[in-house]
Amino acid sequence: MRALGCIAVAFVFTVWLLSACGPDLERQSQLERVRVLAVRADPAEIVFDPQGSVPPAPVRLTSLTYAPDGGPEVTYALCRPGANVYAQDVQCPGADGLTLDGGVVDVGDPSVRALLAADGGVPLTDPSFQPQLARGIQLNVGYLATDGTPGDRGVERGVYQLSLRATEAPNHNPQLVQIFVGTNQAQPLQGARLPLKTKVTFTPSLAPGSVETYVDAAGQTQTELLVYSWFATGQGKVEDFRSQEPFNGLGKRESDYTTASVPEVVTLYVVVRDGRGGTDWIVRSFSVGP
Amino acid sequence: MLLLLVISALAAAAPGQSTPAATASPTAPPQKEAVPLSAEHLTRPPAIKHFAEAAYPKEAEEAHLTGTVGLQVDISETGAVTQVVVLEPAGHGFDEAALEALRRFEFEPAEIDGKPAAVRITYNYHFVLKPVEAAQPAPGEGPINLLGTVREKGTRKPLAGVEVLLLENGRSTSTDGRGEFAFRDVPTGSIQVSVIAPGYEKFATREAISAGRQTRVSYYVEAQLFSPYETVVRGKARKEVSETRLSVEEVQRIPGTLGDSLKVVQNLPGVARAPFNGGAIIIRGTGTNDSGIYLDGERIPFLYHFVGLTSVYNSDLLESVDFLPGNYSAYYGDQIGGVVDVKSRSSRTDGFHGYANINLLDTSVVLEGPLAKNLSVAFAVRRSYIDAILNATGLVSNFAVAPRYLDAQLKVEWRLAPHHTLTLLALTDDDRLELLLDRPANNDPTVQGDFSVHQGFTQFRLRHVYQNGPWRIDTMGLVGPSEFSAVIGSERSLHIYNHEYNFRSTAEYEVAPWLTSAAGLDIAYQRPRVQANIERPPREGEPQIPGVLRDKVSISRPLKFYLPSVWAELRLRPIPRLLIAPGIRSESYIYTDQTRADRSLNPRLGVRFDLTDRVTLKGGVGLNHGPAQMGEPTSEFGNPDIRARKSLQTSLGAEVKLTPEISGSLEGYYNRLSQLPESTASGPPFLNNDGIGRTYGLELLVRHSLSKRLFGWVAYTLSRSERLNHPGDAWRLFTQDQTHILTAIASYKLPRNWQIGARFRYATGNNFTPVIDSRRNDNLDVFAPIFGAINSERLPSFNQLDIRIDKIWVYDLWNLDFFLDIQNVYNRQSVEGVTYSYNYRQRQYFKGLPILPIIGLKGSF
Repeated sequence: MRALGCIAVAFVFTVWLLSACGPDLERQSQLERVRVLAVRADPAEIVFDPQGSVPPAPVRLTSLTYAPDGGPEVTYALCRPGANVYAQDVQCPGADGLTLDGGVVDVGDPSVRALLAADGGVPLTDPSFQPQLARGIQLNVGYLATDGTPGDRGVERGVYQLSLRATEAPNHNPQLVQIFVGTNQAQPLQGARLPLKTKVTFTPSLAPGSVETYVDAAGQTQTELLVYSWFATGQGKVEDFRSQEPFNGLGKRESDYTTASVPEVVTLYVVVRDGRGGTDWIVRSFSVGP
Repeated sequence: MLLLLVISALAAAAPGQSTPAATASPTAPPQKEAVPLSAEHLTRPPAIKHFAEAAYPKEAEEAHLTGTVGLQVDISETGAVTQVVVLEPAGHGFDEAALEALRRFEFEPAEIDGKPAAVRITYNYHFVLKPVEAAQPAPGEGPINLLGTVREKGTRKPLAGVEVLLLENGRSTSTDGRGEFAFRDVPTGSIQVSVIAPGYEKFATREAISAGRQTRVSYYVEAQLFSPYETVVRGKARKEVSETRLSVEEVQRIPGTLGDSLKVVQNLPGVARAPFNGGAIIIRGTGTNDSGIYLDGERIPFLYHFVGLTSVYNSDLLESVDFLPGNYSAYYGDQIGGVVDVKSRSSRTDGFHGYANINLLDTSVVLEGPLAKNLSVAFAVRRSYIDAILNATGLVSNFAVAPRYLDAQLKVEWRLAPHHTLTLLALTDDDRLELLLDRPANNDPTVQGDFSVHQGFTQFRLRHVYQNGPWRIDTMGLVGPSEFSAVIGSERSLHIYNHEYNFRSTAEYEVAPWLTSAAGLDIAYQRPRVQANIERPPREGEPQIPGVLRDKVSISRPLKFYLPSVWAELRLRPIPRLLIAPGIRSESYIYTDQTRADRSLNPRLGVRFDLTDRVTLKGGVGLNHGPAQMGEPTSEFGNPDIRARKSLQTSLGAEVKLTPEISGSLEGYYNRLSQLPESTASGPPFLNNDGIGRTYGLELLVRHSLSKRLFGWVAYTLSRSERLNHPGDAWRLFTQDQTHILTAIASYKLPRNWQIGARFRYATGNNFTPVIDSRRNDNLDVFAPIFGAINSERLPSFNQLDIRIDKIWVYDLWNLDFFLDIQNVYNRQSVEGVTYSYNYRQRQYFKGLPILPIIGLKGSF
């Protein structure tokens, strides 16, 4: 095991280094091309009753998107189990997926069940599969967003993993209710006017009950760790792309933003995820000027 | 058999012919005490039995000229001088006179391992004019009233055979082996005392002699070319057919390496440039983990502090660095690449010595000396202060424990009886880094909170060497714990707590002058306890999507690695010019979860043939196996029945002695690799032995061996390294395949104890696998790359110039070395890799360090 340490050190340092590199590269917080910023499932997961007495409720998928000239079209598809959704030759939406009309995943739909059961993937009614259902399985839902612009700036492909679980305590989406300017929650961001070339702090606010506790697969009680992602249009700069709800004295929920040197109207998109498939977002606009 | 054992020798002045202004005082010039070599080589240096006085050249004498002629002298096993060559001429007829005199010298022969042997020495013959000698009192008359010692300034080394003169009285004497001298019945009053030592500045002072009192003095004379190191270049007729050995002075002075022994090896042919100029040792197209890095024949758990800042063993405690790129003796095994064996040196016994070295990265202290007649000790400790600098400057504020490293070594040697030496070597290393991340990392939102790395080890090595006549038995036992821990956010961790127990015993027996046999036992045993929740690490040639998108592997249990080996070897010289070294090594690889043990048999053959006195042909063929690495033999990470990787090595080359100091070597090699572990399409098992590879190339080395002023070399490698992961795949390039590697190094001593060195390097860029597309994972808000053909693109080539300047101030009892090491003098930031935007739509090169000057001070006593 002598070399494991050396390799692992190189590995972790590479992760660390590359996460902070590339000052000249497009930042993830910048909005300049077709983007899917978040996908939300309502309800947050498919709650499956193994006894079949209560049919699982359909789940509707919606997206927070951006395109320079207005929202792109988003197509969803349930990918066949076992497909490597990160391989170039796997097309989902496409030949390797079942298109979801209106973004609705209905496990009661026979075509959906047939897809899931193919190749022994997800046999929902097989009693031997029940322990796995209790722990939860992830269904891959592929998406394709496009606004018709040619080239890679007008299209984005990705995957959303939808939880399917037999449980009596389903997950819920958190609720992001407000963005404040500063840390004292006195000034809402919507409609605010901020000075030029100034670093300001934005603070998100959640509805009560957004941070849930749950019992994990090992039987341990855990608390959700909510992570925020910050995106903005315009010439300003999001200084902190990610933030997190404080937990055990660690973490900062605020994000710093530096306004542009020219007057503009900025749209800010903030997404919150609970790490278990639960998502919410908020969009706010403000102006920058003298 | 002529052993090319070179001992730096200083002789007392060889007096000229007497004239009214000069007298001749022939003294038997003693030899400078040879550097204490390990017991396996020189046991007695040659001694002059008959000193032949040279005729002082008439032209030089009339012009009152003095001079020193540097000579290379071959002495047979009977003590006869067989060849004399002038290395450093003095002109004015001195060279011819010295040559003629040396041919009439007779020596008591040197002894190697207790037996007379032919040697080669360097000898300085000095021509000095002395004043007329007045009548001297008969020996034994009067009390000693002037006595003292003569030492070298800066090192306190006693100087033997040095002439001490009382010019006004016309008297002189020489210092003895302890550097002491004495005069009887010196007249009272003020008297001038002069010290004349070849290779040293002339020294003169006045002493006050009082009646009825003894005047005791200590004189420190300054070397004309100061060097705290002895120059010892080992002989070629050792067990290895093809080997490059570097002396400690060469190691210490190479620009850009800060004296690190392992980094110096990177400048030799066959070694690729390491990424980020770090510590990776990539020999003949194989990975770092495929080569064996040894300290005195046993491996150490970690080679470097934090990804290659500096190696964990203080290079000042090393005697030499042996580099064996391939086709080495059966003594070495359990690797398919090359071998780097650093040899620790004996502690000094001529008094207590030490130094303190302060530079921008760390401070180190060394103390050594004799504790008793047969007992000596050396201690070294080093600690970095990157943490203090970062904390003071506030450059990075969220370090809980800023990066710092610490290492220490203790060596105790006991010559407990004739023919028996016992050595205890303890070494320890501790590196730490801890960050508190108050925000998730951009590229991996699961990396948040605690981020820490800790590695450390302690080893205790007990070694016994028995040497008597034809026998030499060398036995070493090693025990010690090591630990590696990494915590990456709340979801990933890796903890390895290991205990290592090694045993190695080697017996050599000289059956006849033309036949030496050797055999040995080599056992390595490790019991790591592994606790991990982490992704399977990426493998060379298998680019992976980010770890955050891959399944983690959990493991928490003890493992076992047991690698016993036996080996045997012969060294035959059927004729004096031909050395044939056949050997065989049997290895076993036993792991925790195996269903059956894995074994290998590794025959080896090396040949050296001295075509002429200057040209040697060399070649070898041999089979090597390397055991599983990392978690490869575990069911969680790999395959419990994974076989050892295999390499068939072949090489053919020639060495040429262009001049006594300049040599050249050209060697071609071809290595066939097989049974390389590769990932399966789906597991378990997660690995198989499908991989094969081939590495081949040409290596050229032209080297100026360390002399008084100059050393250096030019190394060029032309190479190719390829792999084939699975049957049906296409051949592809190894990641660190570098077609051209050129290194040129030179270091020169200037007057007044200045020294300047330069290193230029050029290397073809490494290969990488480009990203051609990507897919987004919404749950984690990260993108997964889709890769093109493996290693199908190459980074731009690398070139860099480094310079080092040393200035040494020499004082009586100590010396101070100030150095300036400038890496990347013309500020060309090398391309070390490729970095991508968050969605892999854009990429740019990742650059290395800009110009980096490092200054340091080293005070030695």
